[in-house]
Amino acid sequence: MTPRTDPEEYARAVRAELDDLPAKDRDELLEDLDDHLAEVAAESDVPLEERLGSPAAYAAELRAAYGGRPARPRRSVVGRAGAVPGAVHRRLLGLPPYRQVVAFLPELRPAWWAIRGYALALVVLSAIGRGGVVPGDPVSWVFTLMVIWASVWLGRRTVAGAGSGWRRTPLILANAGAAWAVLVGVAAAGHTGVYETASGSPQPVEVRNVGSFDGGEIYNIVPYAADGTALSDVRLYDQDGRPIILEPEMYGKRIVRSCAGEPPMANSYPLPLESAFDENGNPVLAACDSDTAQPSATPEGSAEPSPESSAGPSPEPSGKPAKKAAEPSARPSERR
Amino acid sequence: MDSSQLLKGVLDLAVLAVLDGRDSYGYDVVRRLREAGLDDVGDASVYGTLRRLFKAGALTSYVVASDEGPHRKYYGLNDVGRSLLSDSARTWTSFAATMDGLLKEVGAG
Repeated sequence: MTPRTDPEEYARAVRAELDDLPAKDRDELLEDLDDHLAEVAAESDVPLEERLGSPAAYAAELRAAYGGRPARPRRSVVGRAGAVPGAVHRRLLGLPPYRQVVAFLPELRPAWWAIRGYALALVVLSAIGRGGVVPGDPVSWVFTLMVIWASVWLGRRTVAGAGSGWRRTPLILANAGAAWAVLVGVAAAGHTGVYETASGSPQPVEVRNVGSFDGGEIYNIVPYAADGTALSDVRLYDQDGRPIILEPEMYGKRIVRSCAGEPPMANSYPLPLESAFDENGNPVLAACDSDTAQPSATPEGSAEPSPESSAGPSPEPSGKPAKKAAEPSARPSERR
Repeated sequence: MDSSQLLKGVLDLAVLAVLDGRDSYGYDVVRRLREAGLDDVGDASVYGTLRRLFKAGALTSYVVASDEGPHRKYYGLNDVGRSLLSDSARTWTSFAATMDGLLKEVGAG
């Protein structure tokens, strides 16, 4: 009696096949497997593997007879990783708040369809050079609305069950792409607010023909806070983060440079201006602003310009600005 | 028709019926089922069924030492097992009668 597979070895192989069962179940099931297999082996000289099949097949049969559960195919690491979210989801379903969220998620689907269409439209628009977080012109708006309409139509159709199986794959990919576009768009929207420095060295916007306010031309901007406080060193940028630059040179003025330190930023308002010409129309040499200020320079001679010190359309000397005087600061940013 | 598929549904009943005759150990149950005509019955299926019925409280078990071979774990019916057997037997008899009725018409055709 020399079976090729001895019972203990066979039993070990069967145990290994069932190592995914809970330990308690496995112990109960396999409690006297060794004795049983020894009995079977003692019955005949034919090797166990020939009489009972492979240990894997034996284990699958045991599993089916014991638990009534079908043998689960062995899964790859990827498969196991994929099962984790599902298991977490099932576990969380025990929590009422999670159940409620899951219950109302389907109601948010139409909103997702609209956002998805919007994001895809903006991706297309930016690809053809009409980028932005908001469509820039009527044609872009019409295009965007059409894409949103198509996205909602597709969403309703999918919910109705028209798409199934492999047809869903492109849809899932498109959804993933749209989700990505939405995230990128949100990130971009967060950036278009205020650029504190010219870190990305955006191209300056030169405001030419700034138009006129109250009949006069603008070569300086004098910002005031809502409470009437005169503001200094206010840096203005347009909607794309580019500095807004006026051209005081066109009006016979120039920016006062401090003798020491860096030249003033051209978009830091109000600009410290001085006349480039004297009363007779002769050019005045560019002087720097130091402690001994030149008479032609700002009266207070401060390197830190205050609205009162600047030439140009300054408001009433009381510092209480007329409302209209504060408004021009908003004007240039509206123009392209 | 694959009789092993049919067997799956009635293996519990077959095992209970065999044990109702007399207490048996695992491999003895397999042998008796085969002797009764269930040639396809699998060793693992019988072993798994015995363990499940025992876990469900339908069987008693006791170990009998053996001189020439391994210890044998004998299984026998307790009250739960006997009640389960009679219920299952009734269900099977009724089911078999229904099938017989159906097949009689087929055979007449």
